[in-house]
Amino acid sequence: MTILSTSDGTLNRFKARLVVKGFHQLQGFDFNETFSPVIKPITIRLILSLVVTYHWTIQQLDVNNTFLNGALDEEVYMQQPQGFESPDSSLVCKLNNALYGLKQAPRQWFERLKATLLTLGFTYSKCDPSLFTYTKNKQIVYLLVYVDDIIVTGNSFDLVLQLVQKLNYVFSLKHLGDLDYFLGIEVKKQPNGTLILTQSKYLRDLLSKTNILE
Amino acid sequence: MVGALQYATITRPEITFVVNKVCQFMAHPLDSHWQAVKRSLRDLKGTLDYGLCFKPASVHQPLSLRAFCDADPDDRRSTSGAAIFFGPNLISWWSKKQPVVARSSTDAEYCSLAHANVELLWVQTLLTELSVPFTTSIIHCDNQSAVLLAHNPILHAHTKHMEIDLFVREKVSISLVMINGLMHSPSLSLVLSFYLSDPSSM
Repeated sequence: MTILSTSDGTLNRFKARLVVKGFHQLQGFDFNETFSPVIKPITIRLILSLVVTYHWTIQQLDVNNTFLNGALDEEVYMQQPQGFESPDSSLVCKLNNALYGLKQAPRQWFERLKATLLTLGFTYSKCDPSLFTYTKNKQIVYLLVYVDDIIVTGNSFDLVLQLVQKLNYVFSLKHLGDLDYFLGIEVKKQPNGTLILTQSKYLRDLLSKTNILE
Repeated sequence: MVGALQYATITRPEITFVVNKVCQFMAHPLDSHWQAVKRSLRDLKGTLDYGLCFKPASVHQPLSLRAFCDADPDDRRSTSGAAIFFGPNLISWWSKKQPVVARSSTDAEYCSLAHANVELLWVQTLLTELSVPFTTSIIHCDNQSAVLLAHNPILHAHTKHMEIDLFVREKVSISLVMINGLMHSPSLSLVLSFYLSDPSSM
């Protein structure tokens, strides 16, 4: 269980999650493939330079309970969760969906997202499988996926919003608005249209951990 | 610790070389490597808000794709460094120990050129896929003989062993990339392949 606090340090809410003991899983039996592609940093930078050049909108999405969205290809059983046992202790739970802790959870999530995007009309890039493109009458939308962090950009603001809404029907999304913080990187937009990428927060945390900041 | 620094190179190309260098000694770290790490951290402390800047390019002409590459020997295997610019923006860079022993500086530079070429071609494919117009890519290399070698297959006794890497020449001959010599300005890629401080401190 984790305690989530707001940025000023006050208590926000408690968060608890059912996690499977994935370290007991056997390859070929409980799982087969675990690889899940993530976006390459060079693709992000390339798209960002297109964004600043053509003054596109750039939006950020976050998926709630990401890994619970994955479907399972294998038959997986788990022990009864503590505190929720049924009187018959010989029973086990059969998983219908992916859970946190499963080795294949990230892969299954990505497959699910990919299938959803393909039905929405996106195509995936051959160079970088985490980059999805949607084109319609010269309007173009790019979608970059890093597990549950998603960046959407394109030359039509309306189309971007429309697609985000469509995606929201399938998954529960948090629309975080304009891109400002992604993978520990702060993105600041300057008045003249340039974007500046910094890792000040990450570096500050790193330096305080190593006691160099004093 | 070094892994944490590695993540910081995402927006800080200038520490790429030192982080890569220290990484090579992870199996047997010495005090001098720890000193280098601490030095980088202190350097970062003073420049916390530095980062990568993305500037808008002109929309009226196709965007340029330029790469700067270099190689420098430190021990038997050289280190190659390169930076790729898309329009005015830096999009990719690396500092990497070459996998083979080079027999001459031309050999090392040529190896670095081949590496930069591979990366550029990947970017070209991606841009074509996104149907973004771009001009013929230019690789700037500060070694004149490596540049000449890429244009002209001089079967020279010293370059016999490099002929396997015909890849660069093939791409040049079909005008996919252009290779230019950089004679006067100090190469940007030098930062990625060379010690900025006293080498004995490593």
